[in-house]
Amino acid sequence: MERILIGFAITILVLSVSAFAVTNDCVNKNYLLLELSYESRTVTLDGYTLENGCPSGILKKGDFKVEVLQNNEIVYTSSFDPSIIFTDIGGKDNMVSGGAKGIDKQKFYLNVPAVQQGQIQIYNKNVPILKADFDVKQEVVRSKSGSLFDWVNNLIEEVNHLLGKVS
Amino acid sequence: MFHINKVQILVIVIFAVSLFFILKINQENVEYSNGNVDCNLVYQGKNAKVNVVFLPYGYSDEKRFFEDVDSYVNGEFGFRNVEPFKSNFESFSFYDIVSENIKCDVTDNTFICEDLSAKRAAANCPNDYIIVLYDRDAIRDLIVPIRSSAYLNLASINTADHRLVVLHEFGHIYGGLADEYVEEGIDIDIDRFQNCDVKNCPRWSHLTNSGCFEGCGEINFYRSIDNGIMKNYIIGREFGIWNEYLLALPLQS
Repeated sequence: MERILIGFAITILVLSVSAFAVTNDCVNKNYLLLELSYESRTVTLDGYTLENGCPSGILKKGDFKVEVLQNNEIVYTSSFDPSIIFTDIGGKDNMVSGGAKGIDKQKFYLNVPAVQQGQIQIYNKNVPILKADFDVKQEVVRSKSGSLFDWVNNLIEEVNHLLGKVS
Repeated sequence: MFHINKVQILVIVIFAVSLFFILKINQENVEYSNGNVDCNLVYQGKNAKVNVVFLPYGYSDEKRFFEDVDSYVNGEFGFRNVEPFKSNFESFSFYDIVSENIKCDVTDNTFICEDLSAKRAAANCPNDYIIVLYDRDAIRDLIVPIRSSAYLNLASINTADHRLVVLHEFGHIYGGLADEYVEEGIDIDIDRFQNCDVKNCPRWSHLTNSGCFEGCGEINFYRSIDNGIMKNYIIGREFGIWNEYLLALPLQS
């Protein structure tokens, strides 16, 4: 029994060292990539896809606000502004020039946390301008490192269970 | 009550070492399987609230990209050494990703990267703000100068410009700050841009170390510092006390 235990422990050590080298937070996460269009101060949702990776964090600047709702509860909110682009250049006479330019029409993307089913709501200066339902079938493709990590976790649980029995 | 023999002690030690590596996993470099893109940790803030990802464009040498990122993070004009990022450095984490999938273009002498490809690449790391560095030759840029740009949470940077251009663009995307130089034909929404104000500057007039200088995007508005980074990053070396306050504000909540 002790040999089995040592075998398990060494296996876990090797796997955890391997996993340490090749995994991180974003590998096992998904985000919802929203394809949006901005035109005349309003925003339309052109599509969405579930993608593998980390969603963007909560941003606080901009007149526009996106909310992700699940079961009518807000699970994510973030600010943005697709109506303006800044351009800058330094050099001539040691001066900076460029300035902000208003955008009339632009396709843009937001990556928000993935939820299976829910709603997207977008506001412009707190006035609702878009409300759309979405339903994403969660088909998460686990990476090798992710599987390894999960497997190590399962092993730890099993060995902990065994240790409990031994003691 | 409990008998622990040498074998059990050995097993416990091995588990402890394993646990250490597993806990460390989230803090180190990684390989993302979908596209074989590495997310490299440049600096992990101890109380990180903001994640910044650097992406390359036009680099023929990865080492040069890493050196540029290091310069923009740790250099004299980098986040580590310019207020208010200097005092709040532990609130930031920085990553870089070597990806060849970033699509950018130069339109009207402005360097602008595609939102989609940048966001997809940046998703390999924790990401709030994305900075694409365009490895532009200084001499070529002298002949045909191009602008850097900031749109949504994405800054597209011409590396031939002054190093402080990164913090200037970051001031736009992170801090929501307006340009403080005056450009003809620009209309500034004074309600939106807190770094500009009307005459007498009531927004920051209570601050002793600030001024009220004519011109902030438009000639009719006023700024708090004569030559700050948001007005002229070639000669300005600081944001100014009011802008520093505005930039540090999101980190307080």
